[in-house]
Amino acid sequence: MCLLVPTYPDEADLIARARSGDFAAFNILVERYQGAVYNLCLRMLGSAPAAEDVAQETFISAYRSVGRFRDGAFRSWLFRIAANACYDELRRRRARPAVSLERGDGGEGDERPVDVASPAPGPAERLETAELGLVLQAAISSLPSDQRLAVVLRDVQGLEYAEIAAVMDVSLGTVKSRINRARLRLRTLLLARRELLPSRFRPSSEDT
Amino acid sequence: MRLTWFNRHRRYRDDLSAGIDGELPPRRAADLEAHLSACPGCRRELAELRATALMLRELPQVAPPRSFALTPEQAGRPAGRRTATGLPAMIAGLRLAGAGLAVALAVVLVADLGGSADDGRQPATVPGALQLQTGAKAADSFADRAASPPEAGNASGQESVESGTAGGGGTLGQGVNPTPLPPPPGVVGLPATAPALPPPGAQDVTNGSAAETPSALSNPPAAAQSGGGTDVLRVVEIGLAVAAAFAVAGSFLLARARRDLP
Repeated sequence: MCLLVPTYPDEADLIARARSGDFAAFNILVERYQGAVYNLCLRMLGSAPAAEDVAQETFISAYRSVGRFRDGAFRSWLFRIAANACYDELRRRRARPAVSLERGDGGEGDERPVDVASPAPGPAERLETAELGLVLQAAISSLPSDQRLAVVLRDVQGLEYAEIAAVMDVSLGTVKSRINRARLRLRTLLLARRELLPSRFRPSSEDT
Repeated sequence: MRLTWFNRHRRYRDDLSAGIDGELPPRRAADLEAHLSACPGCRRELAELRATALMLRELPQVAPPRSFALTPEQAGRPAGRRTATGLPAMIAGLRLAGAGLAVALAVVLVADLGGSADDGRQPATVPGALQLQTGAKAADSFADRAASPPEAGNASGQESVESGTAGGGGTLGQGVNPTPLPPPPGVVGLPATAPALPPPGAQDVTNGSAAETPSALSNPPAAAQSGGGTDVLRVVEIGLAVAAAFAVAGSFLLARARRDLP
């Protein structure tokens, strides 16, 4: 597959060493990708503690199966493992429905809302941003898991459609359709809280 | 009317996100652009989707609370299908050792059992003449092994024997050697049915044939202490058998453990 994915020059060597049992070499790869994996899990699961557990599981599982990694983008392979681990966690939650039904998906009662802090000048704006972050995460968490994964990979991780297709093992058309539906749904939810949206994000009736 | 509108616009609506992301093939992108320039409804929807995507993109990347680097315990088993070279090599080594031990055991057993059969046979046939003949032949074989290891006693015995049988083959050498020959040391301690015997060197002495070849295997000092030699051989055989069994069993256990690895 001719996929243009940013990669580090020494990656093939590290992977080869990891395959022969050099877990220190694997840990270099962990350090490189743990930010991306953690954030993927965070947005998929809507909970920092859950994201921590699933991210760690992801790396352990990846090490144990690194012998099965063929060539291709290591990041895509790693994201696939993370995505499957997130799906498993979401399924587990659905099997044990939680108390809170305010967040969609019915199974996220034990989650602590993601604390989203972004730099903002004044306290009012900070509050607004924090609340916006909560609303955004809640909206993401209300999506069906495959739409959720597609839009998170696209808009949070910045992956191109071809790489998303590789991670999710679906066609480009399916990726396109899932992202579109996810954004449409999010748009509707956010419009219900438009007072929270910064003005630059508030769609006006005229075109921009 | 509404239905028609919806259908007509549906195709463009489905393309909006891909259009925002630059993921439309050129032809379709051009079609969408053309449509958008003429359709405020689709333009509005495009703007809303774009705003949504931008908000998601502005979500901060949260730093991981800790490192997820694996500890040795978490790394645990060797990575992937290819295990560390140690395990298959160990399995092969154990199997080879087991095979080697089994071969050694077989050799010892053959020598052991072969020797005991011959010894059992000998005394049954003509004792007297044979004894003398044996004695004479023994002298020959001793002479042949004059240079062989530390049998000072043998050497002296050999000389006396030689002098006694100067007359030749010595088959009926009763007259030649009235006194019974001192039995060669190797013969003394041999029980008639000895399953465990000193090495074939002793066998040489009793039947006098095949003097040369088994001597390579024989161990005169061991033959000298024949009583102790039997026990030692017994222990060696048992030890070899046990070691071979352990080696093979161990190799199978390791092979099974390896199959169970992820």
